[in-house]
Amino acid sequence: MKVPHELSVAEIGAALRSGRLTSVALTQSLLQRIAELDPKYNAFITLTAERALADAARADNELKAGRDRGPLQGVPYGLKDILDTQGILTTCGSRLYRDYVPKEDAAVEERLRAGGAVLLGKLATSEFACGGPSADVPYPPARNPWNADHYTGGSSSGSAAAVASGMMRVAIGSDTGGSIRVPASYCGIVGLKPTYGLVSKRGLYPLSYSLDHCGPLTGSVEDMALMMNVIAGHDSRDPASADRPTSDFHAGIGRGIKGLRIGYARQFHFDTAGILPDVIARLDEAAQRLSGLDAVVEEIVLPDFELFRACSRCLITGEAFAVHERNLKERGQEYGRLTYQRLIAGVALSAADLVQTFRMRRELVLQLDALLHGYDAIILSTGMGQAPVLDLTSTAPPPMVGSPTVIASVTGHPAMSVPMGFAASGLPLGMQIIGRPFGEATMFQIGAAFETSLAASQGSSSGQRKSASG
Amino acid sequence: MDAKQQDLEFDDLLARAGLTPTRSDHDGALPIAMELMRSAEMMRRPRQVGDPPAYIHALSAILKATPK
Repeated sequence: MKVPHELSVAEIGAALRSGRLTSVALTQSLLQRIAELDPKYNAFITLTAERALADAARADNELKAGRDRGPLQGVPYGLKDILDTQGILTTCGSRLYRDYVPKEDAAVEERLRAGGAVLLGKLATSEFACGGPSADVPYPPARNPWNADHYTGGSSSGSAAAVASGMMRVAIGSDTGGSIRVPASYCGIVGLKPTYGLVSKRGLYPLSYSLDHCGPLTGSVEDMALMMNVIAGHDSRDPASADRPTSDFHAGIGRGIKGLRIGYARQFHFDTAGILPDVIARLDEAAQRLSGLDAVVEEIVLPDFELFRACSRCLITGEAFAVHERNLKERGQEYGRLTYQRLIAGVALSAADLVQTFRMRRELVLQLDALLHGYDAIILSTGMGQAPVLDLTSTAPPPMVGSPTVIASVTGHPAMSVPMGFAASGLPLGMQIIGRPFGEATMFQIGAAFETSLAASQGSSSGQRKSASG
Repeated sequence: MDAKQQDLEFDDLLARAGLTPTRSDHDGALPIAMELMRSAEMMRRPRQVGDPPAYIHALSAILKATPK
């Protein structure tokens, strides 16, 4: 029998509705687990235990009274501490915001509250989603539950550590160049950057206006679909929000993938310097597995990756400089040094550079769109390899390499990281599934079929991650 | 451009932006700035003059949504 922290969102929902479990009991159990594990993994910046127990009691009472708010009612979650929460400290991982208490909730938080979910707290982030990891900010970096000497990846570091260690089943992060997908890959969980505009980013502290996305990190693809059913949809107060109806993201789960066409960008991994050979071995196995599930898998050639990387660098750094310009001048000493150094480099870009970058971006969107005309999805690696060792001694920012995640960041296509196995070191690796715009339901269909098949071959139950921390 | 020249040019850009980093912050940021300049160079390639940047579409969407 599963212990509470191993339950999926669907299993929690069934247990709450059958009376086998209460949200209060689940929340208490997770708070106990957080007390035991968080000193080791630093997933939390602010724990909201009192609020969580009140939310949980409300969910229990409503369910008892027959008021059903949907799949997340009574389900505990956490938010990256870069999303506004009314009356709750929101630090952005920075000394500059150490006392900031927002007056309004971010849009995703509004939707999660309306859905009856239970907020456990605010989760660690790299400073302003772009700094560190470093020791000169007030909040220690999160550590990887698979091996605490390794980093979780950034910037949704606390969200990934919390889900991977079983402190919660679902969390929200933000992704600009890979900040959901890379930590998900390094921590052996599922992470989604939705189609640009599908999930409102109102109340998210911006890093790059045109590249920022809000999205979930979850224990399984089915959890992801249930989360998206609650948080996706138009928000008239977010100018980037897509004004179109959303579908049932759960509809394709369990349907199988017979006949779906999947492009495997295999050659890309040989052409790109620095990709760990284990990554290619696991991807080859994944492609065979998908083929064995009766999908049509064909090798494809991606557009020039270096253009995506360069485009992403210019967009992020140019827009981030505009966001931070005033604080860099007036409060420069309050930033962590790596963050400050990364941000001030933005002075090197001219107005013409940015216009050319936006022209390039349009070309790259059209190229990826053309490729996806022939395929339901594309698969490739999420990261360059496994989670790196956490190094807090560096005094200069590492080079801006750019993971394979930047492809869908630049184009706005949806992209999800799902666990695909392990490196020889025992650390997890992630496969990225890139879909057509607003094609998340098909990506979940593929991801869930893959996940179930992989779990069966590894001898664990379908859709359940192996517990990273026991 | 040699290293000394790059250094001076970056100093000039920082000063024009009103930023006065320490030497160590300057030295940490310089390689990123150089990488950015190389990236920006890659964004310039022969195109038709009429090929617009991506944000033009966002602007047209705003105008379309503006009440008449």
